[in-house]
Amino acid sequence: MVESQSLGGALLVALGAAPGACLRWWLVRQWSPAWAGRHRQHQLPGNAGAPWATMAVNGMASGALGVLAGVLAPHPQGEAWLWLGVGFAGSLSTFSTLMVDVTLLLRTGHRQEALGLTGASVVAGYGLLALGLALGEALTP
Amino acid sequence: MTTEVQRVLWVAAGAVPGGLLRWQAAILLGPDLPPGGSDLLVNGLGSLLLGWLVTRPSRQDLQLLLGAGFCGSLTTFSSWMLVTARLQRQGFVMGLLWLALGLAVGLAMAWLGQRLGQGLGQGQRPS
Repeated sequence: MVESQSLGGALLVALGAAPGACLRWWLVRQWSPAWAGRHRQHQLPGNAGAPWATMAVNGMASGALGVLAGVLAPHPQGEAWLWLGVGFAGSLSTFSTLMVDVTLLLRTGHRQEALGLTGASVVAGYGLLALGLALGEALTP
Repeated sequence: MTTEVQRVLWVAAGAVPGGLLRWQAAILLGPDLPPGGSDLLVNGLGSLLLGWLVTRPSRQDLQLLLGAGFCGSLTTFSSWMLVTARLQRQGFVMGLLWLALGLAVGLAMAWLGQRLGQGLGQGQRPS
């Protein structure tokens, strides 16, 4: 159990948040080209392919958080949760980028794409989280 | 020219305060709110800020610091899904309502941020 407002707790969150955010940024750049062609073909706004790459990273982070939450269920507020859960998985995933991407699609009249991106994000995120949670709980004695 | 290492450092420099603020919001406001309430709050706040930010023509390092770094880490998608999964165990409708609430707040704030950034009353189309 970490003291809730201790310097140690802040350090753990920071040590998770920095690599989490950097990995997200790097993965989005790596994976964007996979969706960029389709993005340009439909003349969608924003960085080509990035919204779908963000969806993939969000799904990955949700799966990781699910495993962690399952494994750490006996002691949910410990140091590992602060570092890997709040810090790393929390920063690896992002919500604001998805919301801005969806509003950009909606404002430029791409309703189907907006719905598709939202639906795919939620389905992938929820599915991987539930899978991770079940896996984590099964791994815990 | 910004090098690759510098870009990574900008993202990290924004991510640390973003993550810490989200954590502190959970500690300070969490006890008074339902589970996930503080995440909903910071997700709304981050969406507002990022919505405003994307309408501003600004230097790439600032976009990395405030956008990918700060807003990206302040807001979280995985916790939203975790709370949804936990609510889902209490009842299917509860989980769906939580999803819809998160979406409604996030989209409204992102939209508001873009309107504020472009100046209220100006054209509808993003620049």
